[in-house]
Amino acid sequence: MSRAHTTSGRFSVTSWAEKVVVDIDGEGTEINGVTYPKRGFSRADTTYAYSGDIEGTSTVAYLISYNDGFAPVTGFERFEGSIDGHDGSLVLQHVGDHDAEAVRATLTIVEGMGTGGLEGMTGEATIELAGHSDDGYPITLSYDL
Amino acid sequence: MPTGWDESVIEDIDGEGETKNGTYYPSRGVTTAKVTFQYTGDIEGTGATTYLFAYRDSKAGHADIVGYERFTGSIGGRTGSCVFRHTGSYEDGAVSDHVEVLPGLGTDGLADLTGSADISMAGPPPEAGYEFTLTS
Repeated sequence: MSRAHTTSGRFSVTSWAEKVVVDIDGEGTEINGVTYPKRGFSRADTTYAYSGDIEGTSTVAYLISYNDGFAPVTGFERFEGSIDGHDGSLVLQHVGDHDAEAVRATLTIVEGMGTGGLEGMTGEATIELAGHSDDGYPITLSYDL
Repeated sequence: MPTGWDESVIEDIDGEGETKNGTYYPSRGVTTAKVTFQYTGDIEGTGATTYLFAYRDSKAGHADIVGYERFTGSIGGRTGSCVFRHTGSYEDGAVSDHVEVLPGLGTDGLADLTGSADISMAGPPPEAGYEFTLTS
C-alpha cells in the first residue's frame, strides 16, 4: 500500500517474559528458567524502547509457535510516544514467523485504537530481529495521518 | 462448545472498561484468554486455546482476535493431536474465525493433517454447540 509518509527509528528489547503453553514432545530446552519447546507454542509479554523519529515505549503480547520449519508468531503491540513529532499511542498487530536466527514480522496499525496525536494514524511496518544487537533493531513505518 | 474461559487484561487504553461475570473488559485494549473447547461429531476431543484480543470497543463487541489451539482427540477416525491457528474478528458481537492447521505440529494419526475451517459464533452458545467444518 502506498502511504504519504515514511519514517524510521530503532527499538531495543527492554524485557522479555515468556512462558510455555504447549510443549508437544516434552523435549523443550530450558534457558534461564524459560522452557523453549522443540515443537509447541508459548506466550510472551515484552517491552521495547524506541529511539529516533519513532520515540517511546511499547508493550507487546506475543503468541509464538515453535517448530523445525515454518513457525508463525503473532501478537499485539501498544506503543506510547511520538512518531514524527505526533504524540499519543497506537496498537499494532504483528504477523510473522521465526527460526533459530531471526524473528520477522509485518506490523499493521489497528484502526480505532489510537489516542492523542496518533489517533487517526494508519500504516504498516516491517521488522527483523536477527541475532543479538546492542543498539537495537531498525524499524521503518509507512503511514498516513 | 466453550467449556472454560479465563481472560485477563494486558493493556487498558482508556481506563473505561466494565466488569462482567467477574472479568474486566477494557473498552479499548489488549487482553489474553485461555479457553477450552469440547468437540463432538467427526471431530471429537478437546481444544485448549490461548487467545489475544485487541478490543476496539468491547461494549459494542468489536475486536481483532488471534490464537493458537492444541486439539487432542480424533478427526475422521484418526487419533492424535494438532495445533490450530485462529485469525478472527469480532464485529457487533459475532465472531468470524479462520482456522488453519499449523503444519509440522501434529502427532500420531494427525501428524500429517493439513486443512482449514471457517467458523462463526454469534449469539448465546447453541445447546448443540457451534458448527465446525474442517476441509483437509
